[in-house]
Amino acid sequence: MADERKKTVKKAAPKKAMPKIYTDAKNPKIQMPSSMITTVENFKKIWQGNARATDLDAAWDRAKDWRDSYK
Amino acid sequence: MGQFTIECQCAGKPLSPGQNGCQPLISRAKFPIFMYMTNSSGAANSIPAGTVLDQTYVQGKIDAINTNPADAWFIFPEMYNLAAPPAENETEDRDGIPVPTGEEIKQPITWEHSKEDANPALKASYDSLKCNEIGVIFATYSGQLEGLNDGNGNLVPMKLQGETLSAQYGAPVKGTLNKIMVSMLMDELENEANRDYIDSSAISYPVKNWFSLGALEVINYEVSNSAQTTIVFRANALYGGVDFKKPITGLVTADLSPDLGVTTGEVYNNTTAANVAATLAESGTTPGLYTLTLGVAQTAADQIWIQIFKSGYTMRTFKVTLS
Repeated sequence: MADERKKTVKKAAPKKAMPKIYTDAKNPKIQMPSSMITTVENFKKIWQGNARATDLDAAWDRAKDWRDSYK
Repeated sequence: MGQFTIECQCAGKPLSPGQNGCQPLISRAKFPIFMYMTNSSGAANSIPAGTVLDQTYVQGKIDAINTNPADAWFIFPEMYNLAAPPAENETEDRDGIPVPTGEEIKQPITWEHSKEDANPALKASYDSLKCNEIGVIFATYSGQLEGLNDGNGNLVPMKLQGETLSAQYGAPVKGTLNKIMVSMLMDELENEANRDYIDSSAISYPVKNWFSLGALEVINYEVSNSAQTTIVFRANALYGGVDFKKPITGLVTADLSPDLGVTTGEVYNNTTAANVAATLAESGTTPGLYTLTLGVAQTAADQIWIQIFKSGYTMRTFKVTLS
């Protein structure tokens, strides 16, 4: 019995597919293709002065965390 | 095959005009709904018998302008001073007696739009229909839909004589409203005996709610483009003055689609024939001003095609040549 238990291999959970478009949870106007979430500089360049985005650092953190959750 | 294809049937028994009591009547027309004569499947455009005319159906007909314009309805504003004189019999004098030749001289139908509706932009809408074989159904004051019966209980549009739809702008002068004057001729092959209608009791989304219902036309113009990655443009509605157009706000990246909603967040590079990921960012201070950033820098002189796919909106492809 014990040997049989040892042979059971725990399967890794299937990787979630990353959606094509990212939408910021706090500001739905911040939407971008997931492939364009690259660097904080690029993110800020796109959204600075746009979409009434106020705290871009926090918005970038959310986007990065979202991207990383699919890695 | 029309319901009463043969207007004058001399063979066989004549049709009896006997009536079974009170007859329902069609009311006068309030606004026109234009549509292509043939739908995207190649069949006659019609409202098939038994169609549930609810809000979803009507919205689908309006949004079809993006997917299949041939299936779309173009609902125009209220008509005033409608004149629709009956067709005249064509005759030839025989020994001084006018004898009908069997053909009819179809009379023009004319009407006006006035005040806010009679914007020069409305003329542009009418003019844009000219190149197609189109027909019209009318919504009436009693909430009915008037068209023709195809012989199988389906309501089909009344065909317009080719290229006769015409709209002219009348500027406001003292004592006179500004106007758009519209005229058209019914096709000479349409048989008035087939005129029919859908009663308001059979229309679950009342016709009064369809007033001027239409996809919002988005008119774009380029402000600048730089570094082969950034395109700044304005999105305005069709109506209004040069510097007084109503801005189209609320467009987001997911509304970008080069293929009618199949792929989102992309634009099309017509030079390389490939889609490019793009982000659409609306200005935080100027309504209707958008910055489009391409995911990968393209080549100077490439032509980027931008297309919005969103329910309730429509636009012609916006083409930008990268500097």
